[in-house]
Amino acid sequence: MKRALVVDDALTVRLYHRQLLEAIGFEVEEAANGIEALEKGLSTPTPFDLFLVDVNMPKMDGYRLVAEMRQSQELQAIPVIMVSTESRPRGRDLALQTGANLYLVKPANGALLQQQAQLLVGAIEQ
Amino acid sequence: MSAQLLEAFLAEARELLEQIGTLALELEQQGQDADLINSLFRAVHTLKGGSGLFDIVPFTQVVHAAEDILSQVREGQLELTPEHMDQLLSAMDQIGFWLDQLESSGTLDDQAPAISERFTLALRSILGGGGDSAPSDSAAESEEAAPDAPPDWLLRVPEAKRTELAQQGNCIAILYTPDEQCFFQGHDPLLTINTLPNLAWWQIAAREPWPELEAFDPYRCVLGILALSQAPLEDVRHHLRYVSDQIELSIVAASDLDPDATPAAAPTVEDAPEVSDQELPDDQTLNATTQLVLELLQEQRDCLRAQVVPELWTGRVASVGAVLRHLLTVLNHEDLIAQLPEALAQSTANSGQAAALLEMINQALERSRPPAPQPSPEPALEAAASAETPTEPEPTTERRQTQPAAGKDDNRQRVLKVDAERIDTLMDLVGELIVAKNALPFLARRAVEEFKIRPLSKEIKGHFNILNRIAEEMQGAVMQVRMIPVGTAFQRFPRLVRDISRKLGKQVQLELQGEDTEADKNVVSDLSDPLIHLVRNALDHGIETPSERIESGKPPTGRIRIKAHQQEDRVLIEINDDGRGMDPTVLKRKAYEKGLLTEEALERLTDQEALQLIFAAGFSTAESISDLSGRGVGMDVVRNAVQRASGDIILDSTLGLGTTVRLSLPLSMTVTQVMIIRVGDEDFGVIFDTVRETLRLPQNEVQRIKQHEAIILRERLLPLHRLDHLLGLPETSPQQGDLSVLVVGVGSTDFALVVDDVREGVDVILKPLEGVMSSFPLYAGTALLGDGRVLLVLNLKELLQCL
Repeated sequence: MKRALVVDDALTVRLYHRQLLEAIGFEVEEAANGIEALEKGLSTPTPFDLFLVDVNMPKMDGYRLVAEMRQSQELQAIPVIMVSTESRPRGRDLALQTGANLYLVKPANGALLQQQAQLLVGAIEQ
Repeated sequence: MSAQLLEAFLAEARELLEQIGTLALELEQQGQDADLINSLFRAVHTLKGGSGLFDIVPFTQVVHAAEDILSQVREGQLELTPEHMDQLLSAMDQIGFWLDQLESSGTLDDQAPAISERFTLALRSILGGGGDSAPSDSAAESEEAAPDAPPDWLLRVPEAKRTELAQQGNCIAILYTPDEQCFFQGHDPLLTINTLPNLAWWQIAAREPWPELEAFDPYRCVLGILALSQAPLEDVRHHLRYVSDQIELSIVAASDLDPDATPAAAPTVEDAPEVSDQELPDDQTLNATTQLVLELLQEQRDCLRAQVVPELWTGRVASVGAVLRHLLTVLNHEDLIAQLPEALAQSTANSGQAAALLEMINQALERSRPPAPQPSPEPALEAAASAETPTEPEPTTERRQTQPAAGKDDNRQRVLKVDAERIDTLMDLVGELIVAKNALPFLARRAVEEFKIRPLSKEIKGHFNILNRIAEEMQGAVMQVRMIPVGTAFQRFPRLVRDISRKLGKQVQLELQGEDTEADKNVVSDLSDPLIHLVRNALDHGIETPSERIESGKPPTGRIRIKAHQQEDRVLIEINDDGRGMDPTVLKRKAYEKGLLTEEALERLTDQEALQLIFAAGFSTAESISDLSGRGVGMDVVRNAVQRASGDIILDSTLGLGTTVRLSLPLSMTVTQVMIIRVGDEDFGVIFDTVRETLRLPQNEVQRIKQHEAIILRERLLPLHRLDHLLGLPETSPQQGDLSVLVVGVGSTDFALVVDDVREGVDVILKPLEGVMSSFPLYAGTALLGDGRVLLVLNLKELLQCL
């Protein structure tokens, strides 16, 4: 089973993303900010296959989180989808610069997000 | 969106609103504190994010405007004045109102857009110039060439294309949503777009997921077309004039196309120039999944090319590598997968150089371009790939076999948010259980008396004891769940105090203590109104104006302190102000003038008792009292509310120094213990807490003092009353032998009641009297007994008043 960590300070958004991912067979955990996400990512016995990360969060924001991930031996290869309310190209550019593998504007299209998540983690094969 | 999601949103949004209110007031008190502004901004931002999940545009607009203001404040471009704060707070009030509406009806009403516009305009007018977050839509439309807020889909334009376009200035973004029946109306959307003047880029895609093949209607146009043109706006409008109702145009500023266009000096990572980009194939025959894979491949390409700091490079390559492996697997490009490790190693070694990986991505994109298959170095593999790509199975539906993990408790959240209604239901059920179990003792008695089976009776009693224990523990557990901090009733006060004191021109500092003290949710909500009343009174009549205070040697800022703490099974709340206090003499005179007291009664009244006169019904009305005593409106209403919640209220005041009101309430009030007593042929209940003791007393020990009766109990003289007489019941036949006496205490007064018999104590759920009956204060309420009878429970406090 693929495992995903949903990182967002908004409980509603976490729930939304959790429901989407669980519906396609993911096992989902949640974190409310970057620090929590790093802690969960580093301490989990079964590694995550995907991080779904919000940008604007307290304590440690999404950019910082992804940058930390990309420098961490354990987390650097995990695909990251970044989700943000920032619809201007600047938001996407920054996300890709820090190392996100996909940038989506909130609210993400549910069906699309499901397929994208599956493709990024290899849950769809021939 | 699921109902569950809306529920979660409502709960979260309310919490955020409360936070916003608190933070805003703190901010106002402490001035421009960066941390506070940040937290405030974040709360509003989170609220906006959540609301975006639902179709409530008016709501989101207002929150968005508020966010923009706070964003400017955060960046130091704007300073918040109290007037701004008023606007911000009233916008949040509207948000709160909309939340209620969402909860009750699931949507916003028809007026919401108009209201939203009003609030949004008001908020936007606060915004200073300069910030790029202040584009007012209406303003932008009136100016022909001014750029609009860029459309969301601008991100779909490849970065390279955007950079290229940005160098040539603004361009027009076109979103063309052809009418579903357009094929029958003589429109050719494809032709229309292809002939667009100065077409710079375009993309066509399905507006909604494609239906199953059986349901697919080829005559219905469900396509959406995105395009960028560099022609003047006029020309674009003219070209699209026949389909103008299906078009959304916006002017995109060059800076929005590519914000990094100018600082060319930055050390950007450029791919090897000889690798030419493959754009997405426009072919619509491509399988939707394949299309998506290709888009993701492009995103990985953009990722590899984005500017990078060296420390992040290895991680970026590793993650892109992982994603590429999955994507290439879906496309079945095994040859490319085989090349992947080498390409990864190469890219990792050279920071910022990913030529090998980029080459692979371009190859993959190239191969999926069906109309013009490129000659490939490995023809056999190539053939296999292109043969299988189109027949790819639809994966999303097939891969749902995995069921959600059960029994993984360690992963679940520790804290559960539960709808209060569900807990109420649970509480009601526990209440019914407690009443239902009371039927067992009756059954046990019948087993003996009617059926003469003593062993059965014993067994029933045994089971009753077990059931009783479980029910009690259950009740305790549910009560624990229902406990909430009394602080939740205080939450409105900072705002209330701020608003009223501003209006009255007074300076008041509010201190809250012991907000963590817990009590049953109902007790806390019953508390809310009386507390507001008391705080309002303290503000209105207690605290003096700054000049008055200075005159009487006090600091100009008054203080109101609300303190809560728990004492045994009661919660005590104290509202204390350092205002002008009250004069007991004035109160006495007033009470006498109103005819509430006789002259003799007046003489006997202590100052402390005189102060309590303020709670007497009909004593206080706004105009008569506020100028006299500084205390005021409808204190009898407050007392009644507190008493309905089985609470007590006392007032203490020193003239010139201030007033303290003390409330005492039970921690919870769902199950009440009553003692059943018999008078004549009727049973009544007496609240257990008020019963001091029961005793049997020989007739001749009753003392007569004038026309009153009394008993002496342990050298204490207690007034004795006959309950049948008090209740106006027919006098029971003069009793033979001993009297059954109940010694009861209300407040500091004890007295003895003669009843005919004292029965058992039972747990009941006390229901307040309803309808016409509710005007009889003599009864605290009714309770259903285990055998189905309804018991009237006496309100001894009122009874005492009748004496």
